[in-house]
This record gives sequence, structure tokens and C-alpha cells, in this order.
Amino acid sequence: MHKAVGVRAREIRWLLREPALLAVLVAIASLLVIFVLLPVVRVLSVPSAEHWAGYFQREAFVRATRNSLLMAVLSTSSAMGVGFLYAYAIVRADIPAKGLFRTVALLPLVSPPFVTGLATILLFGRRGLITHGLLGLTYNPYGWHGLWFAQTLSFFPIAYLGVAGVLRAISPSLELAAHNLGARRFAVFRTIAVPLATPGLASAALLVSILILADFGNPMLLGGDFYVLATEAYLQVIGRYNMEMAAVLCTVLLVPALGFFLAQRYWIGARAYTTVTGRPTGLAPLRTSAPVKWILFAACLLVAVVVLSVYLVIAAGAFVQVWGVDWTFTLKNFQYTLFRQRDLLNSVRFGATAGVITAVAATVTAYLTQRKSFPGRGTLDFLTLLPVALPGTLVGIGFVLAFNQPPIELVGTATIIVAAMAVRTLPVGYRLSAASLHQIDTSIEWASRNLGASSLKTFAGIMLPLLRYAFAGSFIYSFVKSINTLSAVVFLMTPGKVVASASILGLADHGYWSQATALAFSLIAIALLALGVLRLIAGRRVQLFDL
Amino acid sequence: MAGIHVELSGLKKRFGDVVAVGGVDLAVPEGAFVTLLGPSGCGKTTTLRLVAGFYDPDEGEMRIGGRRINDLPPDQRNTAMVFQDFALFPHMTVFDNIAYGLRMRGQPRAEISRRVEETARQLGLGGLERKWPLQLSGGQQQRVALARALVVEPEVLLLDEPLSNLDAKLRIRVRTEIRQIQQQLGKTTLYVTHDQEEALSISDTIAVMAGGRIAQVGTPYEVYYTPASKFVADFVGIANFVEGSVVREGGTARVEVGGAVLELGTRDLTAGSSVLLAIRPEGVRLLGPGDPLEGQNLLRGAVTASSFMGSLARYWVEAIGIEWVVDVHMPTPMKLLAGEVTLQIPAERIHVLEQG
Repeated sequence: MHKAVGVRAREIRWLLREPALLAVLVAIASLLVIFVLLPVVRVLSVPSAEHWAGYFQREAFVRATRNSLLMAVLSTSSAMGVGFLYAYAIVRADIPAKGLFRTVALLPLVSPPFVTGLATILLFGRRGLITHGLLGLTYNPYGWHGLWFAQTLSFFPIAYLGVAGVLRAISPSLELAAHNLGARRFAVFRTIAVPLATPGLASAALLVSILILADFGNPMLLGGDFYVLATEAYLQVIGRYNMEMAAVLCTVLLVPALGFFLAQRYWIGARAYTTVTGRPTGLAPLRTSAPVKWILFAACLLVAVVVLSVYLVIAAGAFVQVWGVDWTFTLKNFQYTLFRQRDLLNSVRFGATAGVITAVAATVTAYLTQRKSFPGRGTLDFLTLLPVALPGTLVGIGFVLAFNQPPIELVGTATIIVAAMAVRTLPVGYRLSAASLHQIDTSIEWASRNLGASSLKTFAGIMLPLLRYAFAGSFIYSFVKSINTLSAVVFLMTPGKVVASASILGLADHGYWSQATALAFSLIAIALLALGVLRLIAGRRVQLFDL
Repeated sequence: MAGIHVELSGLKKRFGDVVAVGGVDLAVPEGAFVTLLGPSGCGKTTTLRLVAGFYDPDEGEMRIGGRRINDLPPDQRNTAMVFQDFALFPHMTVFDNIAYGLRMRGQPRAEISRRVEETARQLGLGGLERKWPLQLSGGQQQRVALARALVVEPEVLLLDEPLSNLDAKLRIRVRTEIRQIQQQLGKTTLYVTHDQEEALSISDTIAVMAGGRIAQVGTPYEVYYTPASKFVADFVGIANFVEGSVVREGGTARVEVGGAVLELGTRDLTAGSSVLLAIRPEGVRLLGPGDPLEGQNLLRGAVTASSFMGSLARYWVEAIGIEWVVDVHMPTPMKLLAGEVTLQIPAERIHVLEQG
């Protein structure tokens, strides 16, 4: 106890000796408290006991909760199944066209998540290309089945990334050792690969389920009368301006997400298996047998064709007169989206600003938590990562509740939209920077200090140049995710400050398919362009979306 | 004399444009401990992995006990391997790790239990069966890896640099233990290392490899004292290399080197030919100012550097235009020699490497 107090006192003395560092630390900590902690506290504290009673009594809310859980279970299972096949094929089988498959999996990650929902309607809806155009059917994709399909496609890439990471982390020599001791291929898979991957798979499945629970765009577009918690919360705010009830619904969404976040942080993280000794052996992992390989290839091909058809439909929709009625080629949809509306420009401006803020905050915070010791370091790390666990709807409603009155009155400004975007992408930028920092030996920094540079000069002159690729990666990630985000900003927009993702949803809601797809197409093109720029700057040094 | 147990003939393996193994022929007698020794990239590990079946050879044959194994999958070769990184299954206890191979062979439960316990005891792992690999020290992990391979009674035991993850003192202890166990069991063993001292101390036979081929096969003594090439002499231990031309006088040969003459005694060397000689540092005697100048091949020189290494003192001496490395064992004076010295080289310590 005494020792801990002594350490604290020493840490504080060190900080006081470097006032610049202290100032930066205080600034970062205040921003995190205001923009991460305060909105959550507001959401949790605003509803009263009556509101909670109202939640349990209203049949609609109970049904929405059940629907949310049902959709999470269904879509997580299917997304994990597809993701596992995809990852196993790409990591462990010598299949052709791996580059194509990886690029295909990238698309849903860098486009607005409701693009798959939009494409589902265009393919299978009342005027759908397949159902109506080809088969002459009148099929109704609205409801749980259409949503299930769209969510599987939207979220399997995240499952794929998680599973691929887990499979790559299994040392090839373990499987070869088992094979060498007499285990046949399937026995190796059963006794080595599966048990070693299980903690990682559980973790990936939980992450996917949290994202599906919190997703807002696809249920809005495709749900029909299948309401989930996220759409109910939206209706409470937009339809009835019942912020308290919306806060209750967000809290219900927060519980599993926060539970996962805490479990990940304190339990799964500590249990994940690592290789006993980490020396790279240069051994290639055990390859699948020929029949298994071609089955996996066929599965990947099927998935890739479905995903590609989604994006081809979006592209096609953008260039025709009226979807399902008049198929003549036109550019007028782009005229409308690019020149009549400021939405796309808003998205780019807000996204770029959020990107800069995220990159700066992530780099500085990572440097502080990874390289400096000060009281509250663990808390700072926790607060920076916490937004991972916050559903977008909760961030949006929390921001409205926290910043609609003095002392901080931001509702109606561009600042609040940018802040919401930055908060949501901060954790990934922070992880990128922290990972980069881990690769820079501490002695480099000591050498700089030893030769007479201050903490701040060392950061600016040595660390910042070394972290430039992580910085670029954080910026691009934040930009791409911010221009696509919907659930948080939809609550924060005011006339003149509408962003493209929200106006796509509005256009689609009113049946302006061509304009909606043209806008979605433009967003995707901008996102891909941004990733292309990153590749030019950083080459393969920054890994975003497993590119 | 035991028969040939493992036979590799004309073994070749390339990765893209790189020839990893470029025609290896090797015969391992039953029960022998054979070491593949060479610098990194010489193809030794690739050869071992070819035998285990992790790679398919491009050309050549591999036989174990006379049976061709080229087309057998790894799980049916019965060539248990100890991996460089041990490759212990982190999700299994020590017991389950050791039992793994027996379970895969469908042994009855009681038999597995008995044999795992027995092997664990043999390797000093008794009482650790319930532990997890990560709870063990490096040396214990190494023994588990060895136990796991030995318990399946492999036809051939393969060891891929098994000591490189251990610290220096433990390395020496464990290598002695590996040798003792191998001799007790009479297990045919193929061992890979880049450490020449390890190879010399542990092997019946050493195959020195370079550039994907075998440069020399021989006992540790042969490889050390009569290396077949400059590469082998240089890689296995330290050698002084001397170039000169042969002068014959009756039955004895002499070599003229930079104005001096070295007596080689009775050797079958052609007069007028040029030769490359190799002389080990401990084969040269160092005579100080007070020592009597006796024996053949006396060379005057000067100490340029010296280093005290405990059980020996190493000198660098400039003589006849060559910098010699000379080791003096049990250095007696408390002070190292300096300045003018004389080197004395017994004829039987001079090895003729090349003649041409």
C-alpha cells in the first residue's frame, strides 16, 4: 500500500517536471471525459424508474428486444459460418483467386452497411431484378428473412477478418508436430486447430453479434414490421421525441456490448493461446487436401458472386433512369446527387475533419499510455477503447442529451457531428498507433532523451516520424468509416448539415432508388479512392481491413 | 556391423529459384546418431523436413528400413520430430502432450497411461504430468518435446536444432542427456545443428553440409582433424591455412612457404605441386624466450594480440607473413606472452587439404 502511494507520488513529480506533457495529458483526458464518458452517463441517468417500467410493460419493446436477439443469433451464426469457410480457404488452402476474394470481402467493410440492404431490395424487392424482372414473382423481402440475408452479407467480412487472424496465429509447427506424431489431417484439425482457435472464434462471434445488435440502417430499410431495438429507439426520438424511452432502449443494447467489452478486456484477452516460444520456423502451415480445397473454393466463389452482385446492382442502379421500369442509361442521377445536394460534400468535409482529429488524438494518446507512466493511465486506456462497446444509436442519443444545454451547447452544429464521428473511430486508430509503438524499441526513445531531447522534442522529432504510417492509417480508417456512419449522426443532423449516408436512407425510404444508389455509389468510390491513396503513401506497412 | 537404416539418395528440393537441397546422399546405420551440420541456408533443416514428409522432394529417394517412404504421408512415417520451437500443444497438459502420438495410434488407455508415466520418469518429468506447457521452464519444455517424440517409439528420431532455445549451460547438460538416452535406447537419430561444438560432442557421424550438398561425412575426429575441404576446416573449428609448393627429398616431403620450409614427413605428394595446408590452433606449440628451441618446423614470430579464455589462452602471432592463431591449454604463467616468440609445428599436426 505504502509502496503504491510512493509510486504515485513519484509519477506526479515526474509529470510536474514536464509541464508540456502534463498540459497535453489534461487536454486529452478532458476531451475523453466530455465526449465519451459524459454522453454514456447521460443516457444511463436520464430515464427514471417509470421509464424502465414502461419498457417492461410495452409489448412492442419486449418484442423489439426479442427480435434484436433473434436477429443477432441468426445473423451471427450465418456470418460466422461464411466467415470461417472464407478465412479457412484463404489462410489454409491453395485456392486460386485469393486476391479477388480478399478484395470482395473488403467491399462491405468500406461501404455504408445498409448498402447490402439496399441491394437486397433492388434484387428481390417488388421491382427486384431477380424476383420481378427475371422470375416475374412478387416477393416481399421486408421482414426477418430479408434482414437476415442482408446482415449476413454485411457482417461476414468482420467474421472473416477475426477468424483469419486466429488461424494465422496458430503456429504451423503445432499442426505439423501433430501430423508427425501420427495424426491424420482431420484429426489434426479436430485436436489442434479447433481447440486452439476456439477462444478467438468466440471472441470474433461476440464482436459480430454486438455489431448486428447495434446496426440501424438495414433494419430501417428492410425490417418492415420486424422492429428491433435500434429502430425502436430511432422512432422514439424522431416520432415522439421521447428521449428518455430512447435512452432506455439504448441501455438495453449497451448491456451485452459492454459485457463483451469487459469480458474481452479482462478474461478472453488473458486466455488466448500463444505459441510457447515465438521463434519463426519458416514452416508453411499444413495444407488442405485437394477435395477439401475445391469445396472451399466453390463456397468462396458463391459468396464472392453474391457480394459482387450486390455492388454491381448498386452501380447499375446509379446509371439507369428508373429501377425496374426504365432501364435506359443516364448520368442524371449523379447530376442530382453531386450538384443539387450538399450532402456528399458535407460527408467528405466532416469525415476528413474527424479523420484528422482521430489520427492526432489516437497517436498522442497511444504514446502517453504506452510510453509514459502517470496516475490514471489504465483509465485513459479504458476510456479511449470504450467507444468500441457503444452502439451508434447510443452515441447519437447520448450526444443529444449531453450537449443540448449549457455549459456545452453543440446540437445543431457541425462540431457535434464531427465529434461523434471521431469518437466512434478513435479506438481503431488508437490500436493502430499502439501496435506501431510496440514495434519501436524503447531504447530509441532513451537514446534521444540521453542525447538531451525533452519528452516533447523526442515525441515530435523521433516518434512522430516513425509513427507516420500509423497516423495515415488512422486518418484513412476514420475518414472511410465516418463518411459511411449512420446510426450516430442521424440524431445530430439539422437542415444544411445532412450527410450522404442519411440522405441515401431517406431517398431509399421514399423509393428514389436511382438517386439513392448514385449517392451510395459515390460514397463507395470515395472510400476506395481514400484506400488507394493510403496504399500509395504507406504501401503495405499499414494493414487496414486485411488489405 | 548394423545394417543401413535410413538411406537418402540423390535427394533434391528447390523452392522457386532457390535450390535448398541439391543432391544429398546419406546412409545412416541402425542405431547411429548422425548430425547434419552446416551454416544457415545449407539445406540441413530442409533435408530433415523431407525425411519427416513436410516437403515433397523434387528428385531422389528416401528409404527407412529398406522401404521407400517418398509417397507416405507424414503421419504414417513414424519419424517423430523434436521441433526447434518445441511445438508443444499449449491447450494440452504435459501428460496429454506426451500421450498425443499414442492416442493417434489407437493404443488402449491403460497402455497409454503406463508408457507416458514411464517416459516421463525416464526424462525426469515425473510429477509434472498435470502442468501446462507454459508453466514449465525452457529445459522442461524441451524434455516434454523429447518425451513426446520418444514415447511413440519412432523408427527414426528427428531433432531440428532442439537446443537453440536453451541458455548456454543448459544446452551442454541437455545435449549430454540426449546422447545418453539415445545410446540407451539404441535409437537411429538424425540431428540438425549449426553449432559445430554441439555436433562434435554428440554424434557418431557428422555430415557437414554447404550449399545444399554434403561436403564431408565422417566421425567427429575425421571431420575435425582431416577435413575434406577448406570450407569444412573453416566451419568446424578454427584452422590456420598455409599455401606453399612441394619439394621432395627421398621419402619425405617439404613445403616451401614464404621463405621458410615446413617438414611434412612421409607423404605422398608430387614435387613442384602447390598445396593448401590446415593446422589447428592447438596443433602449434608456442615457445617463449626461455623455452629450449627443440623439434622440427620452428618459425620465428611476434605476438600481435592475445586473449585469456580460462582453460586456454589464445594468441595471434605474425610469422612467415601469416597471422597464426595458436591456443595454449592450461596457460601456466600468470602473464600472457608478448613480443618475440617461436612457433613449433609437429609434422603430424599438419593436414594437407588440397593439392593441385
